[in-house]
Amino acid sequence: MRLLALLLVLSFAGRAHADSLQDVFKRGNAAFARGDHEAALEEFSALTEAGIDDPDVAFNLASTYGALGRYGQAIRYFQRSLRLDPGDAAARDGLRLARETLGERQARARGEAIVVDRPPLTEAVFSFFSADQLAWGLLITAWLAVGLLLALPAARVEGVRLGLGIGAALFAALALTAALGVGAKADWGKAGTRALIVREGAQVREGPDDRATLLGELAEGEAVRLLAREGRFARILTGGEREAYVLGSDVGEL
Amino acid sequence: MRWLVVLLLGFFAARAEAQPKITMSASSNRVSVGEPFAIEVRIQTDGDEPDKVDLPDLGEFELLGRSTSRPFSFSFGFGGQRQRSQSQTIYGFTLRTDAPGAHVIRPAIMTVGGRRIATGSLTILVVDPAGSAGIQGVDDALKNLNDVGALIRKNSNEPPPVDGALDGATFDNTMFVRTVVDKKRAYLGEQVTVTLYLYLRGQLSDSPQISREPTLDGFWSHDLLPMQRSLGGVRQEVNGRVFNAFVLRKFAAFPLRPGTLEIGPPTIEVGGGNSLFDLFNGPSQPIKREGIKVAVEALPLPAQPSPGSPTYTGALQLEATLEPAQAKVGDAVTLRVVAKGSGNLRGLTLPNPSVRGLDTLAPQIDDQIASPLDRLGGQRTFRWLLLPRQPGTQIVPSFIVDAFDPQSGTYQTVRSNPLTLTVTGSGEAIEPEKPTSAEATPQFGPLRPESALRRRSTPLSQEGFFWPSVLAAPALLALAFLGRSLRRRVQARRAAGRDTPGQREVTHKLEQAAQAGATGDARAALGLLASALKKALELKLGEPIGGMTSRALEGLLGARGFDPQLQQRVMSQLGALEAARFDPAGQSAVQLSQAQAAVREATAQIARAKIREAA
Repeated sequence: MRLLALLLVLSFAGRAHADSLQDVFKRGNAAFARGDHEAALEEFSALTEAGIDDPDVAFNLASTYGALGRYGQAIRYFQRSLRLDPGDAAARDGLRLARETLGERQARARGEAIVVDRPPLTEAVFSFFSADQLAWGLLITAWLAVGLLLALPAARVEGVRLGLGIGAALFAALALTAALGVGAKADWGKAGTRALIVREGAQVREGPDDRATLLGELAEGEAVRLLAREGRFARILTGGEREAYVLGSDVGEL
Repeated sequence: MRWLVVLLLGFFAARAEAQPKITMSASSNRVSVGEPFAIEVRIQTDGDEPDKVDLPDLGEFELLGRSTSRPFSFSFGFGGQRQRSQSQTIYGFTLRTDAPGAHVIRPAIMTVGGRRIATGSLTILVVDPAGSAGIQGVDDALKNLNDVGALIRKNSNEPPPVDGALDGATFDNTMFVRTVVDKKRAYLGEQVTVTLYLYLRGQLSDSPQISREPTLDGFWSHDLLPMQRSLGGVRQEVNGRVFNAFVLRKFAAFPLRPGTLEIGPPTIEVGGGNSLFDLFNGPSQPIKREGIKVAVEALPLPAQPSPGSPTYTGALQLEATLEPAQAKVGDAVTLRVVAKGSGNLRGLTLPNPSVRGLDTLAPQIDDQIASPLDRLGGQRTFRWLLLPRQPGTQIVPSFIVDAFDPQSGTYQTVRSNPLTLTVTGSGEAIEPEKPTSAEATPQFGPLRPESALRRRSTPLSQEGFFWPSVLAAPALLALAFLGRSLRRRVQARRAAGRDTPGQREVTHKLEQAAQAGATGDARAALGLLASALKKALELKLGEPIGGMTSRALEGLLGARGFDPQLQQRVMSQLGALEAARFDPAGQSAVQLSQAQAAVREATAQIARAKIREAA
């Protein structure tokens, strides 16, 4: 009886928590609708800090950052939304808009900008699949290929043997492709995690110290690899494969 | 007839020279608020005084000084022969205004011989510089510019005053050459105006010849005087003597390398032309004078603010245009960048634009160089042909030049406007160009009204069970193949006769023979060896050979395709074993051991032997 009461309490507590998160989400939407983008940003950020990793929340957060003119963060969260839901056309459009707008701003300010960041071929090929979809695909096709191969010796009819052979080869190829996709999504062979510079003119230093030699600046929206966070600083790998440090708040993981 | 043509040409040339002229110029077209500047109206007639001169109304300016001078001059034609004198009248005004903006000075008008001749109008741009430094600079300028001549002389053919020590010349009582630079220290690329004067006591009767031009190593130079011009002298007192000073050369020199650069000494020759009196006195010798070299210290430019960008010394503006702004893949687009400003524009280079998706051809460069008031400037136009290779919206980035201002010693980073090129593929609709102005705010959203609020979860590929589950499939396959392979090998071994009951019997007999030999029962051992050998033959042949004579066995082995050597060896061993059973000499331990080894090897060879199937 006591156990039943405890379960009921836990159930209601969980429900109340879920409702409160929904309230936060709705408050964020309402703030955005009335043009209070800062308040909307606060609400949506609270959701991500609470461990919510939802494509819709990421989309709303990206749109809010875009409305605030913080295009680096907008790109970051549109990419996160697409990672969770690769088929989201609106997120894809939002990402393109954020990139173009940031590029135009940088072109005005600095005289040059890279508007379209073309992903590597493998990444582009698998951009319409999520990492979990590819992982499931790998698991299923690998077992199907093996199953067909194991069934092959038992088949006596030549047509059946041919069908089993072709099917096994097909599933094996699909399994290999899916494995390649899983590798591309997980960045096999690359150090650190994907990250983005989220502040224009982020200062790049030799060490994790404000007095360390200044190496240069990175543009907002520039892709880097985040190796580690060390205090206020983040150790990154720049596009030129050079290890350096930026302020932790200037870089955001994808 | 030819003489008539020459005379007519000479007449018209003389008429052209005789045209009265009136010009108006300013020492600077851009001044700061309160900064003095000079206006000069120059009237030139062929000896006749103008009937009337209407000077421009300068009422909106504060008049700081006014002067009128009438320097004597004459022109000379081919062969240096004096042709006629001319009269000049120069009106100078030193002006100032505190009203910023563009001020237009109306033309000056001269009436001579019933004709009205007017100058063009002048536009003076008065800017309002911020800061006390600018005001201090104006005050300093006011102290120095106490008469109109000081300003006019900065940019005219008149020599600067010679006070005290005579620089750039070696004084001579009758004639000397002087090289004057307007500054002794200049930054790289900064204009140094070099003027070559001839100072002469008395009148100039012959055209002076420059037998050696001043050398300009380390400079890029540009002549500031026209090729055809009249030589005008100005009276000037030097060391208590009155000279006529003539400007022979004037050029803008731009230091190309840092360090001390020298303008070489020129050599001038005057006189020595042929005359009728040469018949009596012999040819007259020209008077030669040599100038002295003048040093200019060229200062390197300080570190530029945009490393990697080109630098330029002087004022600069960049303007970029794309024609057309929309094109199809493969169509040529002209990128035009116009650089306007003062200074050595011919030394300005711009990098080829590098835009992904656009092929860029080598630029065509056109220069329009002018030297108003002896300050070199104008515009340099770069034209690149761009060939789009792929559709999309391409941004041609700004051209960035660090323009160094020698006066303030600071850089100004000059940028052209970035350009957007819309490239479409064949037959594709042209997308409307997106707004590029700073005010344009993109529309993000609409937001998602609902969300499942999914929590962060570990990706499937990073779950602990995932990779074992995936790898289990090929592992199972590998195990299946391994098992099958092992089964086939066992079957193959059995088919080859190894590991069969018969083979095991042969092995057993050999072991028994060895045990019998060890216990000293040689006869039994020899019998077991013979039995093992026969059993091996039976296994191979697949038929019993018991009761066969040696000859019959030999025939059978031959019929089944036994190797002759092996056949002979087997037959001889069988015979030897039978003989040894009844020969005490053959039952020695040594011979027994040799027999065991030979039989073991023979049975192994029989097992490996390839024979024909029984008929």
